[in-house]
Amino acid sequence: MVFQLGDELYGAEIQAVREVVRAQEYRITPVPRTPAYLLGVTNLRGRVIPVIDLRRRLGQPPAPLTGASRIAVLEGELGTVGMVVDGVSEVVRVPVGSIEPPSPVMVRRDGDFVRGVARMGERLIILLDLGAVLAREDRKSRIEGGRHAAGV
Amino acid sequence: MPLEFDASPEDIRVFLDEAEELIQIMEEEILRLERDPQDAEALRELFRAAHTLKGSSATLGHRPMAEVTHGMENLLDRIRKGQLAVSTGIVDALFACLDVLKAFKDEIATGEPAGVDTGQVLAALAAAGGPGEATPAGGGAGSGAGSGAPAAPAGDHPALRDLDPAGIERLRAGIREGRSPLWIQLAADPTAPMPGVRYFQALLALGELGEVVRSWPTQEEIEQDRVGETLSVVFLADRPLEEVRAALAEVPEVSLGALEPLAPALGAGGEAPAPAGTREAAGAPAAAGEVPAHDGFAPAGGQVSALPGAGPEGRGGVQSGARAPGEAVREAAGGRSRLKGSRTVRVDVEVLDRLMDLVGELVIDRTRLVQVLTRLEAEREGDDQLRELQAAAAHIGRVTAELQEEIMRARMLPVENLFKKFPRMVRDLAQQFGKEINFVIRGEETELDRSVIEEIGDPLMHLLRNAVDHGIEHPEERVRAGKPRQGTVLLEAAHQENHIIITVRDDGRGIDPDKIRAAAVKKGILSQEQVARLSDDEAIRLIFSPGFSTAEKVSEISGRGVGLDVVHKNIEKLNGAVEVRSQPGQGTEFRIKLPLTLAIIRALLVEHRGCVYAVPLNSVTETLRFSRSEVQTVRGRDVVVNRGAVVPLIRLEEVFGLEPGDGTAGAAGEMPARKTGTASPGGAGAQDRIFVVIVNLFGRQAGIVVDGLLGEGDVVIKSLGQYIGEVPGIAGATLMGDGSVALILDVAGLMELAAGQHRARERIA
Repeated sequence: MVFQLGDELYGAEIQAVREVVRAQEYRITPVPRTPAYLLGVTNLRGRVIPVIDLRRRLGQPPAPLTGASRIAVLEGELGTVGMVVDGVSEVVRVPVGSIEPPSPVMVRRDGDFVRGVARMGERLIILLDLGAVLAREDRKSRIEGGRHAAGV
Repeated sequence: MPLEFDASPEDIRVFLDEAEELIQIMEEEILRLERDPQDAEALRELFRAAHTLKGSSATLGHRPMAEVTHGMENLLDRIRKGQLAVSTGIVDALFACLDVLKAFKDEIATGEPAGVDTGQVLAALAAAGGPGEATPAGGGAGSGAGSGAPAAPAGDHPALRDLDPAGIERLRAGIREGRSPLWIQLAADPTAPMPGVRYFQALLALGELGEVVRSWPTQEEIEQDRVGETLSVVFLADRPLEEVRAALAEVPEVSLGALEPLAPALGAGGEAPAPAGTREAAGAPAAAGEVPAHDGFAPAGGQVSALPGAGPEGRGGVQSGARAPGEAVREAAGGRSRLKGSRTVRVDVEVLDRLMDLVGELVIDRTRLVQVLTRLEAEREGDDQLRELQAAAAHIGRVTAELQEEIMRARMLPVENLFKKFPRMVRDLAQQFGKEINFVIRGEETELDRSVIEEIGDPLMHLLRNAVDHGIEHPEERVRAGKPRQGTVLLEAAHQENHIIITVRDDGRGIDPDKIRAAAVKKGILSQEQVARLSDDEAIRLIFSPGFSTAEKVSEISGRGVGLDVVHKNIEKLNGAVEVRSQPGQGTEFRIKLPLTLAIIRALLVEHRGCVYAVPLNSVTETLRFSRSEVQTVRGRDVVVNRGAVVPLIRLEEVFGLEPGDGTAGAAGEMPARKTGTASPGGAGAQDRIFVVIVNLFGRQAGIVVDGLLGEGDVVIKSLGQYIGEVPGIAGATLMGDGSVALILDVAGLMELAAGQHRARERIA
């Protein structure tokens, strides 16, 4: 599945994507004491699911939601997670041969989350490593950081 | 080698449920017997339970379990006949058997061999029984044929019950021809590489001596190597029993489980019951004759005349053979519930959880419906159709509420289910530590949501261990202190408004607050000045702090390595609270306050900085309005004075680290602040008045400052999920009528966070 983030195109394996919904139709409740990229939780047909902002997750500046903004609902190892993207364009088949490792130029702050780059004619699609995007490597430090209460 | 049984997973589950219950009964009855060795009813119940378990474990094909229960039965039989008196040795041996049975039960549940040697407990039983007709303690792996450990379900002939009418007719014909019908059960050695081959050999050997009427597994199944741990045969012998026994002894790698004549049981089919004494190996006691087996037996006999030779080979063979043991187990279980006369079904907890979720969604939809109707009402007053819609909505509301209540009730269990596990534990611990303890249980009929019961077991076990290990003194010490030798430990459950209070109390040595203070300083939890400021009650509460333990008195149980802080945390996770009171020399009391259910709570909905929060109503005492000038500062902390009490304030924006004016951490503030109606939204600082929700947790008060109060309601608790994990101060989330998500505050966590931040500021200052 190909989606936009700013001027760039990103791709994620379609198998992980359960559905795509309009971001503006969902109210997101922020959850305190969580990382900034975790926008909060929302109600997806009676289920409470977390929603992350892919821009912040990749270290990019946040942008306001627009009518084109979408939440891609993903099945990750830690359960269902919604991911806000600027827009979803299409589903394409990426031949394995066209995937190149991320070039040094491409490797910016989001280098850890990029699995490779696919060249589709004129366009470059940055393939995301969803496992890394949806991982919570920060969790341990966050909990320890928040554990300064001694319970008296 | 994983264990395999000749039964379906469902049959094994039924067996496990039954075994669990029987073992529990045995445990209770042994305890009763220990208290009163003359208790004939306890002895009878114990015997009956051992007997039933023997039958069903043999049917399942778990030979060691059948052996152990058989050994217990023998010992109990001798007590019943007055040949033996109940002694501590006997009680200990019986308890040892129970532990082995539990290990076997787990082994069956997991399929992993427990590696338990029955020889030891059987020897213990024999030793406890003293000289006389000692239980044959054979039956370990590899002991040859004829070791005499009879695994046959006594007083219960699976052979006859599982035999089709044609088979029974064949047996009767055999008797008329002067042959003797036998029930034979063989068990393959666990190490035998090809039990099927051995069974085949056994059937061949039997073929020389008579006629194999039926076998489980059937010859066909054996040829396909579809075999379990045992081979059961209904046999018409032409030769004497001893010759059959000898022939079977020649078959390698199998041992003889049972070899008994079926004639008496067959004779009983239509007429008088068989005299119990005529059965050979099993030693079936007459008193246990009322086991459910007879339920199945009589109709089988009746069918013989009604349907002579109905499809002899049609339904027999593979299917009935392969399923025989399972069916027997299921029937035994059915028989038990028939005895109870209750009309119940077992329902998977997950189904109940799912139902609860669905009702939760209905509750939300009902709220939405009401909101839409309210709007419509304003527009179309006096519309007949609207009135009808309103009536229907009101009805849906009532039905939903009732449904919710019924499902909640279905999830409730008496705490007895949990409490009955403790007497044995307390007894063992008391013995281990050389204490004399009178363990009192009260209020076991109190009902609690089963999810709460599941979660509260470990904390209670921990508190009870503490009471026995550290609370109650040694008998001599108690006498010196002028107390009765025997210490008392009380476990009590009681209903109190919307809560359950569970109390664990002992009359032991109590907790010395000064020792706690000293330990807290030594462990670097608090400074000397800080502990000096604590009241005695506050000092004692320190035992719940993480990392706190005084080896001398509280916490840190031998070998378990969990402290009271874990107990504290587990209880708070349940939306509960625990408090401790102690009087040095007089004893200690832990009071645990629990919600009735974990799924739905009543909550006060509040609004703060554009977000809606739900505060569990169980901790809310009142809501008050203060003007900002009434807020004072005491020791660097904002407080208000309410009825003479100083109440520290909790500001969510501080505790949660919200940026001022930023209620919406979402993508660039596209979320509108909620309209509250009761207070103007947002704009902190502009208002002179503040709302304070006073919360109370066992005497500790705090006030949560909020912008507005939205009202009370039932909220369905939803977890934030694995991805987000635990968030301090947040107990979960719930869905509001408008479809948005509100966070549920964890009052205990908030108080802790606020106290922690306050201390951190103090250190800096």
